[in-house]
Amino acid sequence: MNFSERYADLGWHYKPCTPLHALRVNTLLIEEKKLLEKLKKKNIILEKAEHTKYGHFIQKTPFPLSSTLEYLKGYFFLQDAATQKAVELLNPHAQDLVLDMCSSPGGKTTHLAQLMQNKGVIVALELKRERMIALKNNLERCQIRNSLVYNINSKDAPSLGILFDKILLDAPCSGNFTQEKDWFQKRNLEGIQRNASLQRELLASAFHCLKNEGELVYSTCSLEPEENEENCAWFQKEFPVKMLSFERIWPDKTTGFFMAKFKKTGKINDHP
Amino acid sequence: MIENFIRQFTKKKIVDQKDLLVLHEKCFFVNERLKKTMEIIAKKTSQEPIYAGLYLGKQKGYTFFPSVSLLEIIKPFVHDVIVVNDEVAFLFICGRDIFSQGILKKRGTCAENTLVFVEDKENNLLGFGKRVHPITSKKEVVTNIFDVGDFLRREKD
Repeated sequence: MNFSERYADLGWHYKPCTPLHALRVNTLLIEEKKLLEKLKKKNIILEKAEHTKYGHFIQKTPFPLSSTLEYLKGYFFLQDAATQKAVELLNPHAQDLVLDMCSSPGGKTTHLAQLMQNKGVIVALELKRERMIALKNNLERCQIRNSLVYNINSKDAPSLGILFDKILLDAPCSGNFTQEKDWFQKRNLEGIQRNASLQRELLASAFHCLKNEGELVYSTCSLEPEENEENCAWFQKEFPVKMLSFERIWPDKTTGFFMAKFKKTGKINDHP
Repeated sequence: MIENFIRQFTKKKIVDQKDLLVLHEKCFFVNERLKKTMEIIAKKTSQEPIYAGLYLGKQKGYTFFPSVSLLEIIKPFVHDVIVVNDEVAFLFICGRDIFSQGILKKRGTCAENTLVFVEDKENNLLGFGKRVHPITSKKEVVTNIFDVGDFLRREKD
């Protein structure tokens, strides 16, 4: 399977690249300016990540940032700059009831809490128990107060009996070549289609637990159209939702990423 | 258990029993809205959360292991504090004890055999320990009981 030809069809010419590491300032615990000063004193060189509220690329660091006191105290989260945009696109507010469907390791959950000023409620679901350790550690480190974490399959989210104001579905996906060695050799169309099918099940679940007029952000770090544009088209065809915006980010300084925002416009019975 | 732990540092009532939730020996601070959401989910799924609200610490037998969040809540009410230099701050968050050379100052009495908070020169909380030997001693002055590096060591487990 020729992936680069597929990407060319979508308007991007494949080039090998290594995204820059990035961090997000946790403004729940420290002012951005103060943290930047502290890191500068430690000879850590950062560059503001454009189009993110609190993201910075790590240009140079003399030691691993995860060994700093500032990291241990939860002043920042190591998180790719592109992925930060999904939470900003959802734009949760302080009083919202938010569902985070695939929450580990907690980068986006802690980011949601940050934008919600640690108020409102986040229900964070994670299927895999072993992935919950990192999630719990990160919630603790960032001193998150407004989250409930459940070991529940997101496909079963409608069984929670709650309609949410906003939902983040950062779906399990095929990933992309910047995240894994020999990615091209390990992936094929069959696997991509299998993931796309799972993502559709999750989108359907998300629809059923979203309030009318509620908003959903669907994101993946896959570059494959089956997992992105084609799933969005399917979602709009099958459910009464309106796509408000979408963005595809090709790998460069950040990893590759796709996100789309939907609004629920009615019940499934209203849909033609 | 959590009250006993807090009482070692301050007599002030810091947490209200009605806001506490204990899940598998772990203690959380949970507000009303979280509680209501939990109730709805429990009714529908019979499931309780794995993690809820603000994590305050873990009860293990007769010992309570606090979280950094709980220590930060207690911090404004703690009188006995040892302030250390950068080098010792780094060693302390790696789990080491404190010797007199690295101590910049102490606040409060910091009497022998009492628990003291440890801070760096910028007043960042690093953890707490037990004052064991006099500041003039060549032996360890504060033994490390808990430090913020615990998180990193736990993550590697």
